[in-house]
Amino acid sequence: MDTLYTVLYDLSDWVLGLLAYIVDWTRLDFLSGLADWLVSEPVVVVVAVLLQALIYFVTLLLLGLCFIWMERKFLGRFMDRRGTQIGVLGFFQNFADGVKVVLKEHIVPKAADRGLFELAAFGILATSFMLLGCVPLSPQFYIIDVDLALLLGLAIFSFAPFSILVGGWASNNKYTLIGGMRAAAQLIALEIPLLLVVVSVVLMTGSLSFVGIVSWQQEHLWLAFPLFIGMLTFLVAGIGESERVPFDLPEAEAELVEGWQTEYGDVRWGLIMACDYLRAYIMCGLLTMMFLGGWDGPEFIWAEVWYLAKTFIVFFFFVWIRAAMVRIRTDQILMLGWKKLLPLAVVNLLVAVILKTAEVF
Amino acid sequence: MDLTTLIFLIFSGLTVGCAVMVLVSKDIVRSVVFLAATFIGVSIVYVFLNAEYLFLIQILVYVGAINVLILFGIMLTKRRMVGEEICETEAKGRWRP
Repeated sequence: MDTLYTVLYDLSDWVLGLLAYIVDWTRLDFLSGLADWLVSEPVVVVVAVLLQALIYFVTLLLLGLCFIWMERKFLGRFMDRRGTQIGVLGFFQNFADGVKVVLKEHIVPKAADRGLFELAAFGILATSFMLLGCVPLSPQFYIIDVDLALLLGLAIFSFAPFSILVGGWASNNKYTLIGGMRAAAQLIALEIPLLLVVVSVVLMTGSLSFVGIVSWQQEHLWLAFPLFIGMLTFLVAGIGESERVPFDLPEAEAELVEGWQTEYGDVRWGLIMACDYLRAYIMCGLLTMMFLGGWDGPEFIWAEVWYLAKTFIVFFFFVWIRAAMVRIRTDQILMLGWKKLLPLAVVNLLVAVILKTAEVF
Repeated sequence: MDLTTLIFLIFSGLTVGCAVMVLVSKDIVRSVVFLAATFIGVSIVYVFLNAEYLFLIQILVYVGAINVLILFGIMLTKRRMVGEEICETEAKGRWRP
């Protein structure tokens, strides 16, 4: 099967070969070694990897824009208004907003700790985009597929509370500090049930790579049926991890301005905002991959389309919950995380253990 | 010297440098950031030993949990904000960050 990488490898091999031929044809003395260098193995690999990263990055940014558009449009409809209006079905509103954000001035508060202020924004952006590389769209369309991909993704995800706390502190503002503390407390409280649910999935499928998990589900059945409790726990914890309503108290607008991102003004804020949606996408993607069979589906259309369709349906639930619920309090969120979701995750793990020891699958 | 050794030396040098900076740095939050860098550097040494699982667990536990715990500890105790006096509850009862 042709993966994205092999296709791009052939492409870059051909393009570099063409370039080398042109360089050879010019017969300039100072370019003599260049043609051989262009067609050498490391150069071709580097160009192929860069092309792969570029394609994945652009695809996912467009996907993020679709998520933002979907949320604005659907939320508008839920609230009985029209939502965004510019362009086809209001899709170009996001591009206009993006251009606006890019044109803004970069302001660092005078009292802020400048180095850490920039580092925190970099940390959250870099880890979010690294996270995207771990989640494949299909067995062909991926960046990396290592045996420990799921664990790698969760390890990268665990950088977030650290960056958020440091960013909230470095802005030197009481709103950002409180927002940062809330965000980190919430992320940690909900990460443990999340990880326990992941453990149950790993136990059932016996694999830590996404391709392995999905192929197990293609062989047997979607894990949403045996591990239904786990799926609901993951859904609630996932909404909390991506800091969306009703768990958006880190950036509760009415009390904390914009939470820990208050002092970020320019394109950094725009990218952090896009990252929020990309993290929501990651959560939807993980849920799809672990419980809804990933790219499993009848083969008359591409596997990527099945995967993205399921992801968008899960995100529709996210938006629906956002439209229907009100924000909950800090003590309630900790109560929910530690006293409700953690026992549910343990019960789910028990179900997985019983199913595995009874050798049902 | 082959490339692997060179990369290993660069990363171990960075790790040791960050570990020294934890002690030298005046600002305690900066110390924690350097501590995180040290942990990441140690985890990269595990990659060179072909122990990928240990590398991921090191990041998950030390950077994701221990460091955040230390940061929480710092922020819940009396501290000096950047260029300000020690934060205290004033007599009026108004909380000053």
